[in-house]
Amino acid sequence: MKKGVLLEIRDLHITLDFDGDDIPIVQGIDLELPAGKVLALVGESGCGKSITSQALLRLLPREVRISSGEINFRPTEDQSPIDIAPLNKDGKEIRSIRGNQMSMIFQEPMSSFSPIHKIGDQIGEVIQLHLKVTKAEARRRVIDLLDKVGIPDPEQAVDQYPHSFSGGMRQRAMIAKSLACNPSILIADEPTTALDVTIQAQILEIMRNLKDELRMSMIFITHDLGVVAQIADEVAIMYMGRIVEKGPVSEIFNNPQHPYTVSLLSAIPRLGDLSDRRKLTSIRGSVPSLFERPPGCAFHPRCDSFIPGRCDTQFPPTSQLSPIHEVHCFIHENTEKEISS
Amino acid sequence: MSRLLRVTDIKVHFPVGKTGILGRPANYLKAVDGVSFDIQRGETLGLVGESGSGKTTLGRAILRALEPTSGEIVYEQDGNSIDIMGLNRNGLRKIWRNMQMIFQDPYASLNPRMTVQDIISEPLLANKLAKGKDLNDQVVDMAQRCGLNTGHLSRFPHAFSGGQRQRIAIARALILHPEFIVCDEAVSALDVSIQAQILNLLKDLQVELNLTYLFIAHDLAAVAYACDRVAVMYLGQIVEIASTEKLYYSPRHPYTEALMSAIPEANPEQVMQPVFLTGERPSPTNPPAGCRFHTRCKYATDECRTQVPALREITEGHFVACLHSEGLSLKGALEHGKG
Repeated sequence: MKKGVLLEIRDLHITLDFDGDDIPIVQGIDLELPAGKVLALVGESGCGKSITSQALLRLLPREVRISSGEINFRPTEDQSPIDIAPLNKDGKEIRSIRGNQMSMIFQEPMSSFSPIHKIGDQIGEVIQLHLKVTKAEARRRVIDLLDKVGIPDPEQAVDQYPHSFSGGMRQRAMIAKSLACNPSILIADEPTTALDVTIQAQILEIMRNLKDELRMSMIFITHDLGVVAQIADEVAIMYMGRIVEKGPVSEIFNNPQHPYTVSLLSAIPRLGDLSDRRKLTSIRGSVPSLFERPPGCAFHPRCDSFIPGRCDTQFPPTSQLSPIHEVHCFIHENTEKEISS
Repeated sequence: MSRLLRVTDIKVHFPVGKTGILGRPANYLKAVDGVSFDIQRGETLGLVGESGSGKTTLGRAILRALEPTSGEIVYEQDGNSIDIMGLNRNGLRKIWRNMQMIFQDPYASLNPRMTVQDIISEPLLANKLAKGKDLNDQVVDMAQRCGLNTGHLSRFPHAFSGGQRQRIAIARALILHPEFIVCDEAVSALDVSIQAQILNLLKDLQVELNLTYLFIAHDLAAVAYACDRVAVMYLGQIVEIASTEKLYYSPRHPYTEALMSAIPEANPEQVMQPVFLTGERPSPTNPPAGCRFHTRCKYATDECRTQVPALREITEGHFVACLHSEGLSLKGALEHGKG
C-alpha cells in the first residue's frame, strides 16, 4: 500500500445472487482513500455506490456478496494492512473495526435509531462496546460528542428519545454516534439527501470541521454534484458498477473527460447562469436495469461519442491523463501515449 | 400578461387532538395561514420552503383537492372570473379540466393495474370527452408530445423507468388540455440526467400548449432554472415573492437569505458561506406571535416579537413580509462568489 493511504480497494467485484444466477453489481473497481481526505463516490441510482460503501464494512444484504477483490485497511501508518474482503462478515475481526475504526452515517436518521432507547444510551452503547470505560465515563463522552456536533443543551439531550429530535438533530446525533470511538474513516451514505437545504448546509459545515480539525478521512456517497463540489477532495464517478473517471474535485468539475461526467455536469441546473436560462443538456434514455447491462462500456447506448465495434465490445482500459486524473473511455486511448512519449 | 389566478387570504387549518364531551379539536395545525398571490397566464411560479412549510397543502388547496378552511380563489377563464370556492361538485369537475396536478412519486401516482393507454385515456373517458378512434388519436398524440414510445402504450407502468413514468403522469395531466398545472416536487425523485429531461419537457410543453405552472420544489437550483417568479413560504405564510433573479440574488427577507446562501453550487471554487438559522422550526400548531420567523432571525428586534409584518411591495413586483427589510443588507445566492 502507498504511503499515506488509509484504505485501498483493488479490483473489487460484488454480485447479486438472483435465483441462483450471479448478477454483477460492481465490476472491478479500484480506489484509494488518502488520510485526511474526503473521497466522493458519485453516480445515479443503481450505479453501485451505496453497495460499495456497504461492502467496506461488510454490511451487504444477504443475497449480495463480494465475489473477488481486496479491501485493504490500515488504521495507522505503522500497522500492517488488513484485507477486509475475506473476513467472516459476523466475525470478531470485522466487528472490532465496524463502528470503531470505521463507522457509517446513513441517509435516514429516522430509521437509524431505536425509538425505545434514549439517544445517550444508544451512543453510549457503542462506546462501551469498543472502549473499556465505565458507564459514567461513556455518558460524559456522549455529552461531549453531542456538543461537538452542535446539539443545543447536550446535558438534557442525552436523556431524550429520538422522536423528540427533528430530522436535522437526528442526523447530528447520528454523526455523534459514528464519531463515538474516534474512527479513522467515516463513511457517509447520502447523509444530507433527506434534509432541508438550510439543515444540509449545517451538516456539511460540521463534516467540514471534522475534516479540518480532526483530520478525519471520509467516503462520501451522493448523487448531488453541488454537495460534492462543496465537500470532496477526490471524486470517483460511477456508472453501472464501474468507475468511469476519477481525480481531484477541481479536475472533475473544471476538466471532465468522460462523456458521462461531461453530460452529468451539464445536466444540472446552476445558479451561475440564471440570466441566460439555457436549456439543460439532458442525457438521452435512462440507466438500464442490472439485468440488461449493455456489453462493453455500459454507457455506450447513451453516449454521443460512441465508437461502434469498440465501445460495445470491450470496457475501455485506464487512460492515465495525468498522475492524478484517470478515465475509462476509448476517446482517450491515445491521449495517454502522447503524454508518455 | 393577464392574470390567470388570484388567491386571497387562503387558510387551511387541520384539527389536532380532541377535548371535551363534544369532541371539539383541542387545537389547529395551521398548515396554510393567510396566503395571497396572483399567477399570470403563461408564467411559472415557484413555491419553495422547508418541509412542513405548507407548500404542498397550498398547491392542493388552490385546486380544492383539499378543502381550504377559508379564503378566496378566483380563476379567469375566457373573460369570466370564476369563484372556485363557490363551486359545487359539478362545477369543480368542470374547472378541473383546466387545472391539473403532477405528483412527486411516479411509482405511487400511476395505477399498476392499468395500461399506459388506459391511464392516459382515463380523464377523457371520465369527462366523456372522447371515444373510439378520436380517443385513441388524442392519447397517441399526447404520448408523443411527452416523449413516450407509442408502441409501448399497451404496457403496464412497472415496465417503465422513473423518468418514463413521470412522462406518463405528465401525459395524463395534459390530455384534457388544461391551462394550469400544479407540479408538486415533479422532478425531485428523479436522477440528475432524467431530471434535466423532465425539466426541459415541461418547458417545451409550456410554450407549445401555453401552460401556466405552479412549481413546488425544495431543490432551489431546479426552481431557479424552471421559474419566472418564486414565492418563499415559512410556517404556512408567504414571506417573500419576487422575480427569480431578484429573489435569488437580492433577497429582502432574512429567511430567504438563509435559504439562498445555503445552496451548494456545483463549483468547487465557490465555497458556500451559509447564513445559519438559530434554533428549531416552531410547530405550526402554535406559531410564534409577531413575525413567525423572529425566533430564528438574527436581525429580530422587540418589534418583531409583537408586530405581525404584512406582505408589502417594496420595489415593483417584489413583495416581502419583514418589518426591517429596508434596513438590512442580505446575502443572496453565490454572494461569496461575487467577491
